[in-house]
Amino acid sequence: MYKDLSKLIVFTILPLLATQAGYALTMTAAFNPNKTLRAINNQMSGPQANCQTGGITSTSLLNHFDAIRKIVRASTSRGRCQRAVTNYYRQKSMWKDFSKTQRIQFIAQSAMELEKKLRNEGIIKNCQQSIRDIEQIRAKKLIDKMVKKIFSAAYKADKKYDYKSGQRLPSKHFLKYYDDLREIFNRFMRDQFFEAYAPNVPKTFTPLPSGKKVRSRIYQEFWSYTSFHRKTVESKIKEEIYKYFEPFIELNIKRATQKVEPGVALISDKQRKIVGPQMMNGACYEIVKKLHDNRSNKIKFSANTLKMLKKKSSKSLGRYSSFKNKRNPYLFHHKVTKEAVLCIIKQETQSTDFDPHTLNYTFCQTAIGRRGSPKSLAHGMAQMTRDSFVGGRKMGILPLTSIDESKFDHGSQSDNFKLFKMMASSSDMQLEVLFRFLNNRVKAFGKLMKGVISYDQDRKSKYTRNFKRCMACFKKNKSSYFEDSAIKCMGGTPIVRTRPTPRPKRKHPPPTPRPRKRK
Amino acid sequence: MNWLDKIFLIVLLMSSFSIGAKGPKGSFGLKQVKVNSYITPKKFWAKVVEQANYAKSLHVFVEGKSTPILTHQTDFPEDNFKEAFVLKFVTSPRYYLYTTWNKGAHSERVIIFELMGAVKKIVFEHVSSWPVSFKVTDKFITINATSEMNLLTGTPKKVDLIWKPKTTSGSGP
Repeated sequence: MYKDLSKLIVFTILPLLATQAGYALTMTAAFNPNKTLRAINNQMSGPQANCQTGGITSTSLLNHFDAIRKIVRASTSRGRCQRAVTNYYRQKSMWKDFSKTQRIQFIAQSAMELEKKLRNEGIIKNCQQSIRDIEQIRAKKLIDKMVKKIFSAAYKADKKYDYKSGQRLPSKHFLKYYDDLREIFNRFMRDQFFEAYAPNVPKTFTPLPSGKKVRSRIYQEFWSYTSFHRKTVESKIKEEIYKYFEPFIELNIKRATQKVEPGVALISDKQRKIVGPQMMNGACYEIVKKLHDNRSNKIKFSANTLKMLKKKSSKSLGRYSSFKNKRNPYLFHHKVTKEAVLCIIKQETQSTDFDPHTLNYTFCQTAIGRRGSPKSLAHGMAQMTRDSFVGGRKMGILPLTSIDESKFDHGSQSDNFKLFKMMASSSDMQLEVLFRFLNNRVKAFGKLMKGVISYDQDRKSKYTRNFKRCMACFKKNKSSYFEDSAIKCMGGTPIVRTRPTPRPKRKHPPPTPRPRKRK
Repeated sequence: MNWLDKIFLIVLLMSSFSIGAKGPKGSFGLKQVKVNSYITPKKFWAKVVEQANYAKSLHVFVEGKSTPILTHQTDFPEDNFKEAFVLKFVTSPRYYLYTTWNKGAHSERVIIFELMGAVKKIVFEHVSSWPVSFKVTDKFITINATSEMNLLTGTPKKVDLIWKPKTTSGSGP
């Protein structure tokens, strides 16, 4: 049994691997899939976005954070420390020149934009994921089919030659037919795969001539083994082939997923808000179909993907609180709105007049003596501590779009610490973190109030009452300008908007007197 | 008995003794909060295991035993384990475990366990809206917690909680 296995590994799988190495060498001259993928990746990522708030770049933010830490460590008492920190902020806060109302206005605007952006992003990402799944299934099915074809052909060839004579070749002969095997894979796999799966992929390499049936004695060896061994070999071959074609499959998927992005504008704002797990697949199909049917657009999807998406469209993703959906940061709960986020910000940063660049009082409370490290580093609008930030990042519930994330690792601790430092002075990042963390909580509980309570507070506190009042205020004072209602509910001085002057009433010309009849 | 077998047996025996000297793999020693010098501390080891759904579970071992005497899992996988100390008071013969867990954005949950063999018993639990500190005396522990933020001053209200162990007879683990 073991001898047979070792034979199999030496004489069937190793040469197969070798063939692929051979391919790699032959293909590099004409077509390098990795290079093209990299180029596409670079194109997709676009220009690198800097983390900018108030005209100060991210590098200076780190110094800002460290400078305060130095003050904390140098000060001799807690009271002095707090005074020193507040003085520092009075002098150097990036928002020091803004008034309270201006701050509220800015926060409200950015929250409004961010909500729209995150909901759009959610629809796009989920749609892209479903397309990715479909394409991968398709590719796997195709490979299975082709591998079956090859073996059935080989089996037929084998029957004619081997079984009639009843001879078995010694295993040493296998290596002689190495070239034959390579040829078969060239003909059967590469050409058929591209024709069936990815007809639009540019073929810069020269295809090999195809046609004649290749019959070799390798298969006599292969089929002489028991069916159990054959299956293991078959599955391994399938895996190897999938690995070989992976860059091409990825390329095709990227081309398909890229097309979805412009389609989000086709859905109305109202519809976008409602999209939950039940509607997600349906919305995706709607976008794809609208893009496909529009004649002015050149965006076309393959018929198979459309068919699969239609099948999928009626299926829901399940409950919000399911394990998969709760971890999915791109699926947004419809109750997590800008109003809810602003009400939390009101609770957290009202005492500092909504300055997102302040650290909280705990920064001056050190753990061991005065020279020890601060007790908690919670800061900004989200008031999130470093531990919970890093925990969220490691689980993948806090992806960040307001900065270029490609440089940072989800898992590495040092990178997450850096991001946390950067968050100290970027209001966009703080807002995004608040949105995503609250979303995770609300999804877990299914209710907004419970999610808010678990965000940071005790049940007994006044937090809930204040939050409810704030939400009611937003409901009451709805206006076409969101900033106005935010200023009203968060306690700023209302903006006096100059109303457009009413149009003067058209004065009808006085009726012309009728000419008198002459007597 | 072959001489090779004898050596093998000796090595086995040696290794079996050495197993008890330290905690299991990946564990860390738990510090005891020393109040008086006469308390003879037992050595405890703890281990934090991250499960497939990211939920953290804390396992506590006594020196010389491989099975945990206490296991505790968080309700939410987002909540991380922060720190743990072993407490020993003059008034009771039992050992207690003081643990803190992150909760939400900046809250902290304090749980005190009684370290009895194989039965989890939560003696004290409190959620503070900001990080917590504590002080231990011979007979009780004071936990400096906070409630909601005072919106005018920008500082939260302080809440000092005192917990005493019940004076009961019985041996520890």
